[in-house]
Amino acid sequence: MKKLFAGLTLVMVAVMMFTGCAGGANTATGDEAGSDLATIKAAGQMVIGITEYDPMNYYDEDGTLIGFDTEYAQAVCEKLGVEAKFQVINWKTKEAELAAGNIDAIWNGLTVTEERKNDMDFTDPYLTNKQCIVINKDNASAYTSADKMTSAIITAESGSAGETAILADESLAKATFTPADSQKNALVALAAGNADAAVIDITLATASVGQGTYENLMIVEGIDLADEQYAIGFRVGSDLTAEVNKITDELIESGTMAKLAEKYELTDRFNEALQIAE
Amino acid sequence: MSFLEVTQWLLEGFSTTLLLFAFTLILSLPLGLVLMFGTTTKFWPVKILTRAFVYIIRGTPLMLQLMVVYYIPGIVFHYSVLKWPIFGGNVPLAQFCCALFTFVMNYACYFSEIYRGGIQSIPKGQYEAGQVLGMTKSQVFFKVILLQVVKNILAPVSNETITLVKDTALANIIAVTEIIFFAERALNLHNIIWPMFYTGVFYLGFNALLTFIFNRLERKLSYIRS
Amino acid sequence: MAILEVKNIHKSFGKEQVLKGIDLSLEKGEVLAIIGSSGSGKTTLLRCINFLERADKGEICVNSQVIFDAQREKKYTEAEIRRSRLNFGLVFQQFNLFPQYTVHRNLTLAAEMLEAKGLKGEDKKRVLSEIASRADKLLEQVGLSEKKGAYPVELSGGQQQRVAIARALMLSPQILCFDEPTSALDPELTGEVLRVIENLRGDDRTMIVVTHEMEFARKVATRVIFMADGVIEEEGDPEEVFTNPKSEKLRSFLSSSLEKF
Repeated sequence: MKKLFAGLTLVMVAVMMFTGCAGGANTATGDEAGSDLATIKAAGQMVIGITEYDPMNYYDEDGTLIGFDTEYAQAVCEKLGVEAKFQVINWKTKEAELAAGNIDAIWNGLTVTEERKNDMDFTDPYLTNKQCIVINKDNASAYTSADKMTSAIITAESGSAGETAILADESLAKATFTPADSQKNALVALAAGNADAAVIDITLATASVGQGTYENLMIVEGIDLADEQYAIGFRVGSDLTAEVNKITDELIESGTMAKLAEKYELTDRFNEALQIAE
Repeated sequence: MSFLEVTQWLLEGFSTTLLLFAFTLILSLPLGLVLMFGTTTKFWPVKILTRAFVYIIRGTPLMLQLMVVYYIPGIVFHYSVLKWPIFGGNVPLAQFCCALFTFVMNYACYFSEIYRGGIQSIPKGQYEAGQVLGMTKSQVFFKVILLQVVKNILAPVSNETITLVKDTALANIIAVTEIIFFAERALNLHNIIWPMFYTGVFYLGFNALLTFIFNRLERKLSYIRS
Repeated sequence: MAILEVKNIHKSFGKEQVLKGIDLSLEKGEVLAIIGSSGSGKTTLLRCINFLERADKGEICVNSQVIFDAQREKKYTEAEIRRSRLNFGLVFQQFNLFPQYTVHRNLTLAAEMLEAKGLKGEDKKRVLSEIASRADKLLEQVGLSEKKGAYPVELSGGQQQRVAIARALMLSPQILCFDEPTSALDPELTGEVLRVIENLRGDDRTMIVVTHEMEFARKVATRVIFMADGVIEEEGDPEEVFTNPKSEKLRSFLSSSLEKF
C-alpha cells in the first residue's frame, strides 16, 4: 500500500518538476507569430484581451458589450472573416497573456510606448490620448495648475503613461509620488484622500469623474500632460499588424471609423490621430 | 447599481469562490496524505523529490504559482492552457481549472505537513501499548492512532480551511470570476467602490459557518485527551 | 521447570552497550524485582523480553521453547514476534491507555481483535460477551467497576495505572511485566497501585517488576536482581539483598535510595 503511494507520488512530483523547471528554456515567441493570420482564420476567431471600461469596452442596458474598441474590433474581424472574441484579462499581466497565446491581441485603449515595443508590435494609432490631472473638488481653488502641486501627494498607475508624465513634468516631479496598481485604484486613492491628485488617461477620467465613488472628483482644466496615442498590440513579428492596418485604412475610407468616433464622442481625438498619420 | 443588483452580482461571483473552495478541499485533503507518505517513506528518491516539491510550493507565493501554471505552458511550450482540448474552448473553465490545480497542489503540501506533525505528535507509548497487546501494525494505526491524529490536526486543518476561503480571492489574478473579480467589475463599469467592501460580508458569513462546524467537531472529539 | 529463561542477552544503542550479557531464569509463581539506578539497563532488559527492542545477541525461552534467538539466520517476521509477545503482558510507566476509548473498551479492544476474528453470528456474540464479562471481572479485581464507562482522562494517575494492569491481564499472559509502574505517580497514589500488584501475587502469577520502590520489592518479591552498568551485579532473596548486600555498588545504591525517603 505504502509502496503504491510512494510510486504515485514519484510520478506526480516528476511531472511537476519537469513543467516547473522548464521555465526559461525558450521564451522566444516571434518565430511562431508569423502564422498568426492563418491561425486565427483556422480557429475562426480572434481572441481580444480587454478590460471593461467606458467608452472602450463596456455594457449597454441590455447587457451587450459595446464601446468604441468593441465595435472597431468587430468591424475588423468581420472583414477578416472571423469572430471577435473578447476576453477579460488582468491588465497588469497583459504582456504575459499575449506571449502565452491566451489572447491574440490587446485592443483596449492601449497607449503606444517605447518600452512596450519590446513586448509587442503596434498598429498605426487610431486615437490620440492625453494624461490629465484629477483632484478633489474641495481643492479646486488650491490646485489650479501643476506648479501649485509641488507639495502634494500624487498617484498614478505604476509603470503607466501617467507616471511617466509626472516624472517628465518639472513641478509634478517634486511632489510625493505614490504608485497605484491600476488607474481606477488611483482614483479610489484620490477619493479616499490617500492622494491629493491623480494622473490618468483623459478617456478614463472623462468617463469616471462625477460618478459613484468618484462623485467628488474633477479634472483640472487646461493642463495637458504628455500627448500620446492608442493602438492595437499584436505579438512581435505578427502578420496581423499589417493586415489590420490595411483593413483600418479601408474603414477610414468608407467613413465607418468617423461614425464610430462620433457615436462615442471621440471625434476630435480621432481627427488628431488622422492628422498625425499624415 | 442598486444594492439588490450588486448583491445578486456578488452572489454569482461567490458561487465561483465556493466551488473553488470546495473542490480544492475535497482534492487536497487526500492528496496531502499521499504527499505525506512520500515525505516520510524510507525510499529515498521519492522522499527527496516529494520534500523538494513541498519545499518549493511552501516557499513561493501562491500568486506566483498561479501565474506559473497559467502562463508557462503558453510562453515556454507555445501551447496556451486555454487552448488545451480537454477544456473544449471553454475559457472560464480553463481558468478555473488552472486555479483549482494550483490551489490543490498548494494546500496538499500544507496538509501533508500538518498530517506529518499530527502523526509525530502521538507518543511512542501508544504504538507500544498496541503492540504488546498483540495488535498488528495496521490495527494499531487504524484502531489506536488514527482518531488521535484526527483530533490533533483538527485545529490546524480548520485554520488552513479558513485561510483557503480567503486565498481564493487570489484567483482573480488569472481572471477567475470569483467575488473580488465582480467587485472590481463594479468599480470599472459603474465607478462604485463599495461592493468591494461589501464582499467582506460574504467571506465573514461563510467563515462563521465553517467556524461553527469545526467547533462542533472539536467538541465532539474533546473527550480525547492524553 | 523454568517458565522463563533469558540467556546471555546483549543490546547496544549505537556505540553504547546497554546490556552486556544478562542471564536469568524464572519459576512459575515467582515475583522478580529488578532494581538499579537509572541507566543500569533494567528497563531495556524488560523491553527486550517484550520485543519492543530486539536483542543483538542471546536467547529467550518460554517453557523451554526458544521464542527468540538473535543468532537465527532467518529474520523474525512480524507475525512470529506478535505471537511470542502474547506470552507476556506489559504495564508501562506512563500507563499508555488509549485516550479515545472508555475504560472498558481499553480492556476489550485487543481481545476482540484476537479472539473474535473471523467469527460470525451466534459464535461471535458468545465470544464478545465472554470478553466483556472477563473485562468486568478484571475491573472489579482492580477496584474500578464503577469507572468502566469513564474515559482515561477522567481518572487519576493511580486509577489509570490500575486500568492498565487490568488491560495487561485481559490476554492472560504467562508472565506479567511492570516497567516502573509507580514512577509517574504522585507519592500518595502509589499505594493503591502497589496493593493491586501485591494482590496478584496471591493468584500465583509470575511477575517481573522493574521498580524504585525498595520497600515494595522487599515485601512482595520472591527474588531481587540488582543491575548496574548492563550486568547483574547481585541476586538473591529480598532479605539477603537488602540486609546483607555483598557488593560495594549495591551498598551505595541502597544507602542513596534510602536517603530519598
